[in-house]
Amino acid sequence: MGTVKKALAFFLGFVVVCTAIVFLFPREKAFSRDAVIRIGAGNDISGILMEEITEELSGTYTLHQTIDMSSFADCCSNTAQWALNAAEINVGFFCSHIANYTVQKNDKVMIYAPVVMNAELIVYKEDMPWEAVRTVGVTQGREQEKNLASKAYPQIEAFRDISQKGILYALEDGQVDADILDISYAAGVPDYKTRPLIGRDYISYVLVVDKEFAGTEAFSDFLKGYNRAVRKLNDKAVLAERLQTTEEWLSGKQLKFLEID
Amino acid sequence: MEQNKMNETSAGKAGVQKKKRHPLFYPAIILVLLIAGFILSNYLNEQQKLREAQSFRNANYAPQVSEDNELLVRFLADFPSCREVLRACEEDVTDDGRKDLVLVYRTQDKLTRMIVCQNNADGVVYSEPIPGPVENQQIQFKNIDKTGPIEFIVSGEKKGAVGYAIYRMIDGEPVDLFGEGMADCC
Repeated sequence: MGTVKKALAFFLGFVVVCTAIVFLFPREKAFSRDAVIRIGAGNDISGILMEEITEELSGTYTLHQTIDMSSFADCCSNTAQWALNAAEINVGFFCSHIANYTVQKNDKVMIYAPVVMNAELIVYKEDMPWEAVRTVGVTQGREQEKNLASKAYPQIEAFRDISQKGILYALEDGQVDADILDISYAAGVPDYKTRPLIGRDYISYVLVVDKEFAGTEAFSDFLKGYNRAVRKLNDKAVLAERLQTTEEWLSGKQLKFLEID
Repeated sequence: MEQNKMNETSAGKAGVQKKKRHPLFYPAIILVLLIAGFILSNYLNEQQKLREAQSFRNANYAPQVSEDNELLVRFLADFPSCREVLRACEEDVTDDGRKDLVLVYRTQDKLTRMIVCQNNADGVVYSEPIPGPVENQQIQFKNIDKTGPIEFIVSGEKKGAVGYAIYRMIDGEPVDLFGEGMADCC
């Protein structure tokens, strides 16, 4: 055998041995404790949930929060869509409508589980009789909320899409008779009267996850932190503190944070 | 004769020479097999991860009830329009302590329908049939909010389009709490 052949045989043998080691030997899980969990959420009740999870996980993981008011004010914003599509975040809390839209457009992500129930309220002024409510303001993109409210309250004649920043102003200014508000916003105007969006449970937010990330141990740890946060927030006293409101205001509200098994 | 033997011997040698492999032939075959195995293993691992990551959609599907299940027998008697039962799973979805039956079936008109047979105190009551997934129907029971009636998740496909919906029984009818892609698979 010539020198060249010997060298080739050695090279091939080396590759075979290396491949055998990679292929046949037991491997550690493809996971690093330093794996970054990048959570995204809107500036609403899902943001409060995200903050709670962050607190639960802090010390174990580096968390890059994307709860910036200007860029991720609402899950229905283009920025929120971009964050997931550009892999700026690997887990995100999205409203049901946008979550469905997102997974249709991006096959790298999936809806993992429902996370928050009954997060919206209809809010109207104290001097406005409910029977007189005809026009309702709703944050742009919240199609599910419109559908549910129109089913529950046939008296509603029209919905007006308004930006999250302007929605309370529109109510105060009389441009609409009532607003559909996230509970975290409704808690900020305790003098206004509230009604449930519909007289039954519905899913407000779901967890959207990068499919690759969903297979990691980091995601399993995220879920443990998530469940701890959920158990905390289902305590009315804790939730009242986080929403800067009172337990009395929260009584009768049907908001539920859902554990993920 | 001798000439013939010599010819045969030389022909045999030529045959042996033809069969002689290159010294790198077998290592190359092994290498190719290992690499193929490695790629296949990685692919299967990824698929497994994705399956595991499907969370509430793929985990713990409810088993099919037996053909002599009381509610199933009753349903088949009451619904002659049913051509074929595709999936039938039992659970107490009305929270009254009695097992109910969630069914996906095909009608004589080849439509796929989902119905809940409610085993109430005063008899069996049927929900209004609603469109169900056309292929690979699965049913899973899960109490997502840990209170009240248990929810059930119906999933399936139609020409590769996958969908599912989470239902809860409210006033005798399954109410869609959340779903994804059901319009494409029903």
